[in-house]
Amino acid sequence: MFDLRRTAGYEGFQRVKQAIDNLRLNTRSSAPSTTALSSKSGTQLVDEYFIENRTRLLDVAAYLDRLDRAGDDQTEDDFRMRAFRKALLVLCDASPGRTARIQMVFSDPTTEPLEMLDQKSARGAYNFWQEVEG
Amino acid sequence: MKYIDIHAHMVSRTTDDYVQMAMTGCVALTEPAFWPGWDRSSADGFDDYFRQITDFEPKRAAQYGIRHYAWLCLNPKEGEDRDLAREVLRRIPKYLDRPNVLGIGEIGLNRVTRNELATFRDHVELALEHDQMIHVHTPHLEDKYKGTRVIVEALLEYGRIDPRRVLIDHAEEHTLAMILENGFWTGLTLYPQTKTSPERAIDMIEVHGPERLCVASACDWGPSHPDAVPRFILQMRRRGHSDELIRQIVYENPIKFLGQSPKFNLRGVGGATTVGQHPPTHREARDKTDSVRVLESAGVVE
Repeated sequence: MFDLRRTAGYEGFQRVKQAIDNLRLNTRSSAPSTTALSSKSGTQLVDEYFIENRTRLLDVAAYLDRLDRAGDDQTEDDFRMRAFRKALLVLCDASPGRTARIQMVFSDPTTEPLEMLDQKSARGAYNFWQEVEG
Repeated sequence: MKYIDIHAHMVSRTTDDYVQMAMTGCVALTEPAFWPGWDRSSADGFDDYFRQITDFEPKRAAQYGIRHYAWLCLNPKEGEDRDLAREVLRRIPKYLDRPNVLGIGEIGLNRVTRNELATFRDHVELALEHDQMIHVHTPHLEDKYKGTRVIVEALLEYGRIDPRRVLIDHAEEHTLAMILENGFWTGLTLYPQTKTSPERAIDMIEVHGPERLCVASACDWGPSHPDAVPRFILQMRRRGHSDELIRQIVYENPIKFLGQSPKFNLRGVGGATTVGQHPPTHREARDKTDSVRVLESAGVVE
């Protein structure tokens, strides 16, 4: 079973947190006003978009249930699912800029180029745990 | 509403897609050179590809009243092969005078390797040498943040680059600010899975504003919608935004960026045509904004 509380013990947690904190600082210092172009009130946004976002939330829940039913313990240690659970924590916190911070949960925060091509395509999440676990 | 799709890989799309784009208001598009999903076996394959997007595709698009422009390069997915890159770059200049070629692109990075970066720099120098505009691809998914940072830093090293003539594409929430704050144009790619949805693109526009920003379908051989821009228009209206703002993003902004090339113009575009012909449009006299009038007076549009 997936348990969000397990994410607190991740070896790569500090690196993820640092990347998120850095982005939060950058966002605070550089983002323009968030209200200049908004054209809907909060109530209007709830009235118009609640149902479709409720649907999206249930799709995520159903995906996690599906993984549970598969009964494959290895998926809990898969770096992509580790990042996914970490992103769910960001989704649930109260501070703004969740989308950009979730982007950073999945992102390679380094800047040093790879010595050579290791794979042709991206996989959706950076493996923050690869150096710790080998 | 008329729109310009600044990023569409029409070699991977059917004629029905051209029809759909024309019927939903597309009057022009640009096709950056890209990776076909498999690696070419030689530079000769690029010669054929460059002929396709500078000769055949403009004629195909013209049948549906769509003006077709192209960008040339060896794409980042094949940039690791330095020998191939050198040979392809050697061949590119002979195509730069083609009437629909706007510049070098979509260059950039894929997995952000040293060879990819070297190939990227070679393309930048080629563009500078031939005074070409630049269209930049940024990496996918987990590599986007790193790749965009490396690309921006590399471009800023060139004192001769005018950022207003460079569009760094596929921006998302965590990369948009670094692109705009350094003076570059940017693009938001409207994809059903990767990159961004129309809804998130609108959020980014609401936060960062509509200046130096375009949206595009980037339709290709993968999951993508050739009518992504009209879908975006629909969502903008649903969100309550004005037609004036929408028109700025989907039509006027592309004209401002692409119009920096003397080859870009929309004179005579619109309506069904026969191959290779561009009869004058008889529509769109209404609801013109001041910026379009300026462009009209400059001869970019009519």
